Amino acid sequence: MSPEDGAPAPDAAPGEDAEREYLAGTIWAEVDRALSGITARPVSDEEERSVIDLVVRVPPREVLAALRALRTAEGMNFDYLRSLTAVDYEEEGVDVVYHLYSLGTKRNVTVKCRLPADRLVLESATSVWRAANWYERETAEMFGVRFEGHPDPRNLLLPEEMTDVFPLRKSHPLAEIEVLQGEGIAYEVVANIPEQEFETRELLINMGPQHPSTHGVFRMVLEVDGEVVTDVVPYIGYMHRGAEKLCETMDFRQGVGYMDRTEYLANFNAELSYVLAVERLAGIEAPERAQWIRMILCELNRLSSHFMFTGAFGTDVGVFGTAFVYSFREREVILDLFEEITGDRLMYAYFRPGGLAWEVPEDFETRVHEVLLSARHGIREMDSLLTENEIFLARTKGVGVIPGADAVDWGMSGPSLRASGVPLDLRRDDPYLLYPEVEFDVISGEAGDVFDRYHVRLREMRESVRIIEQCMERLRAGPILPERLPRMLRTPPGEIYQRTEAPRGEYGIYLVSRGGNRPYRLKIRSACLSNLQALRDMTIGHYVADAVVILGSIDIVLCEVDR
Amino acid sequence: MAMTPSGPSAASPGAPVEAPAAPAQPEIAPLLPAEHPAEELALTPVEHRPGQALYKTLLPGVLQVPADLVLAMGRKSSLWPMTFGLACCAIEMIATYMAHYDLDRFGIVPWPSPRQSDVMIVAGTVTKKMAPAVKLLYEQMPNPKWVISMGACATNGGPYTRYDRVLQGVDKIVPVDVYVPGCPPRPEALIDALVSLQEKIMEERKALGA
Repeated sequence: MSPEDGAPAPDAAPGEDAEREYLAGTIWAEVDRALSGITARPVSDEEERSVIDLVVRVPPREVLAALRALRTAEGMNFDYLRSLTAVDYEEEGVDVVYHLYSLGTKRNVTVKCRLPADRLVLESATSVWRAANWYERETAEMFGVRFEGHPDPRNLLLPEEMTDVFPLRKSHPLAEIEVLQGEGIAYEVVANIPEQEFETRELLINMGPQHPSTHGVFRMVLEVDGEVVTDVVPYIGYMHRGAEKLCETMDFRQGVGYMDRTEYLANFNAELSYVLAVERLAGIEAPERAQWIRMILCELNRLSSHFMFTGAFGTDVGVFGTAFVYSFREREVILDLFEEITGDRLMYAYFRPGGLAWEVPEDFETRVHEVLLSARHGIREMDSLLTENEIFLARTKGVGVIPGADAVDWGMSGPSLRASGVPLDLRRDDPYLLYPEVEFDVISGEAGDVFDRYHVRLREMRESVRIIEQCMERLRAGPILPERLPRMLRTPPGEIYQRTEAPRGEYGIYLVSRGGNRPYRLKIRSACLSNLQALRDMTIGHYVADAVVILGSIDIVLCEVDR
Repeated sequence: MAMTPSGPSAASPGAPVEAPAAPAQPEIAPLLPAEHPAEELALTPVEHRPGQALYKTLLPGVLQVPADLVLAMGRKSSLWPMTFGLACCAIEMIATYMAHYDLDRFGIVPWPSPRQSDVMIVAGTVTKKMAPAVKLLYEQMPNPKWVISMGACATNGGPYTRYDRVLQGVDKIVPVDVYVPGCPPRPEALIDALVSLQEKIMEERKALGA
């Protein structure tokens, strides 16, 4: 399936015929059967519908019933909650949006319901998917939607006492830019900060937000009985810096930079999601050469990200030094290539809606082969260093097990999900770019323990090398931008939920446009956020020392979690 | 004391002075004019005169430096930054520590606890939720301590400055010594910042006290 196949051809004939024709190309018939007895309405208006998925509107009081029906529908049970968010339409109300996926049939559906602005109350979906827990907490604090029956209605990203500010509402203003640079450096507290916020009690161990092994500013409070963890309360949001809100104020090209800074270990993969979403919404397609180069760079980025993981994970397990230093050596080789291409070591902003920013250097192919040579050596080295290391095995085998069904229920994705034996890989199951044209295996584990999560990633790196080699064979000279690309890109009204397989899992961009050159609403579906939700299930019952190993095995990037 | 060279101080008080002292004189730079030999004997080992130093007599070839300079040199040569990464810049900070850029060359070794650290590298956006923790960490560090604000976000909020949950610069809560521009700064820029900090430590040694 090539990227534009999912988009229904725009039909000139208005009225019911066009609607019937559009719906015939979707899964509306099956969804309608599943939703019998519920007043659901498919969205077929060209200005409202999604470019790739079927959108169904449900009245607020029937949402829970509809979701439950879709989850348990025979033949097409939507067992995976991809994302849950909201869109603020000011006085018209707030749309709450559910993106569902059926693992069995690989189909997507989007459920929407419009809440009136004066009554933002909805039933909680946590009883249907456990994954809804954090998604709803985030939606509640950002938009002021109250989810009734939610088991834990605290703030997630914002400070817990901040219950009257809803930053993602359109009415919430941006901060003023402060011009006083370098003045007022005296050691004075300008921001109003409570003096003492972190306190610990007996049997509670506080880890973070500054802790060497929490991979950033993640905080968890462990309740321990001796050495055994009896409860974990994760706290996130220490890096919540409003990428979504700021993207709504920038045009489509500028948004790419925020994607880099959101997922800074797999920048190309993050850029890709965004760029694909914009392209599909605007109805443009990147030329073939650009698509091959995008694939090569994304897979190289997967390599560099997984190298970073193996090194950091080795440190978590206790192999400090060797693994970390070796992996960084390999990573630097890849980063050097990225720098030659894009001019920056970390923030590339190289993908553009329509193609690439500029042509790759002349010696691109030789350089990629050099990098692959080094990467293959590095993978072998990591493998021999860790995989057969007895201490490493003892610390990772059988630790932090999560069964496949639970992992799906928590909305996990990527290698962490595949380690539990659920072979969901969007490169194969929901293809984009030219992935259908290359051969690769979807690696999955069996036990769902920490070792599998490590080993799946390591084996995945070999597949990435395979993909890059095939891409290099297919790479031909040609244009890297479409012939006619407007200087200022505008999209027609509509929406899209574009998901791609990033190294950490499903990186999704939900883009709502009402026309114009900037998104009306941009939601970043973070893979790490969903994976992190399952941390509690994985950790309880293990030793305190293993808590670090389990956290490391999910491979979180806190900027992506908090956005 | 055991190393006291044969010279005026080694001579026993009762012995005749002129003959044995003569050969050693040219090497150890006489303290007093030759026309007052008797006075020289009586005063040399104990009295310090401006422009003249005791050690020059006792340990030839040793440099004299102020104590604060020695302390400042010690401080600048073993800067231990706290391993404390916030956002994207932290990745570049780690890369600077690792094999390729190798900060160990400068005596800069990451340390995971604020209690033994000298430098806090604020690598990334400081949000208002994180700010109390950053401030607490700074206060937990012993004096003397320095702060490097790495990257645009830590300096003034960078690309996120217009979101109201972001602190517009870490200098709102802790005093910053060196600002590093860039988004993110390259490892070379961080190394340059640390070298600048070393220079600054040498310059401000008197203010810090010895």
